[in-house]
Amino acid sequence: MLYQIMGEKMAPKFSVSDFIAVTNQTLEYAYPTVEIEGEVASFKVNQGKFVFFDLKDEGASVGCFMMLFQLRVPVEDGMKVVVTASPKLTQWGKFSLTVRAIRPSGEGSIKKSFEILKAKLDAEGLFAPERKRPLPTIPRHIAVISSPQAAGYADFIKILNDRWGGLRVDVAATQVQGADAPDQIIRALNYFNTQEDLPEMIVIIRGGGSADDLSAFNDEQLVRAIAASRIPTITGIGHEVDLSLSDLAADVRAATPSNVAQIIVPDRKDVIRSLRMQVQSLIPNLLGSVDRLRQQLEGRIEDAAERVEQEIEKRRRQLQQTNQLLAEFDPARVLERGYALVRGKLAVGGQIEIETKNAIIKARIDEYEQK
Amino acid sequence: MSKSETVPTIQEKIADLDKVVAWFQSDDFELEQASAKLKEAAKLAAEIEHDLDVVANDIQVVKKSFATDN
Repeated sequence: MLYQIMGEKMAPKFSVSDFIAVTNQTLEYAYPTVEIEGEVASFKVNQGKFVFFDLKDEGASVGCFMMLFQLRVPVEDGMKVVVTASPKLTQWGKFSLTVRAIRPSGEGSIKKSFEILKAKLDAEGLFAPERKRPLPTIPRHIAVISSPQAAGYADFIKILNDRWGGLRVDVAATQVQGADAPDQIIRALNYFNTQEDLPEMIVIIRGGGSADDLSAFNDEQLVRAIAASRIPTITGIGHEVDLSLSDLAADVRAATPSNVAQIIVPDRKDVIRSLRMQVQSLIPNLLGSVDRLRQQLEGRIEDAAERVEQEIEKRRRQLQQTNQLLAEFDPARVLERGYALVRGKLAVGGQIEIETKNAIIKARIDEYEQK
Repeated sequence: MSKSETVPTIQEKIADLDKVVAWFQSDDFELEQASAKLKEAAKLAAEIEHDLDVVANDIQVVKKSFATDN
């Protein structure tokens, strides 16, 4: 660098390349990273990897450049955005912003970006109900991704501890808003998904905030990471009315961080009440079994008594029939019918005795011949 | 096997209790064993209730930083 005397002042003298390099050094020192809000114009993607657009307001416009992979949300002309960027003078002397992150700004743009990405991911099936997996009824080991300093996290832990005990909770401390939040949450998701001892579910928590605060949860790569998690996920982001794309991709969406705790573990008071009822319900069950057994035994005794009675009756009838048969052979009954009994020596001149119903007659045989 | 591995968790005890309760409804039910099973159920329920009253959640913040890829 050379200095030239201009009157009494020394003016720096540069080559063109040096001037651009020094200017960039100065810019980098003064504004290493800036956030600039403006409206997108002339948005285009070149060669499938380079993004160019102008950022403008009512009075000015500045060119912006970024890599396509850094574009995490849908952007269109006319959309109001905030870019995180570094100012730079190119070797052709053109001033531009090298953008590292871009997010929609203002209700209209946030909503528009949300709807475009929602439609895209929905078409890919990321939000399909059939992809949803059930959470374990009572988990033993869970992972939580949140900012431990956030109120939403404190609410979740309080309700969790009130309701249940004996749970292992691994917490990944991440930012839950701002440009760095999506990547940090994605890293935490990857961390838990690659553990040897896998948690049974991953809980993603963030308390209430503005649409801009919650916009990290509409980041495309984060939404895809949630959908790809091999561990079931549950989200509790913002308030009940706040619906993010992360909520749609998760297996279960809770209305708030507190609601997450209510969903994932039962209330110990309810469990204790249920246990007592379960055990008490066994007593009538046992008594009922005794009663059923007694009824079965009584039934068998009644059956046996009936069978004995039937046997007695059968024998009684047989005896009656025998008696009737015997009565038919009684000689008195034969005499009754007019027959007579003859006793004595059956030969000519023999004395015989003839018995009838009413008399006993003595007689002699005058004649006898065999039939 | 360490001692902690042999101590059943609350969830395991609840699963055991569910099995005992199911036994009363099953074809395996035998009146001769019912009294012992009833005592087992009452003991498990008392243990679970005690555990739920005293056991706290073990909350650990992972030491790894997620600010960067490293």
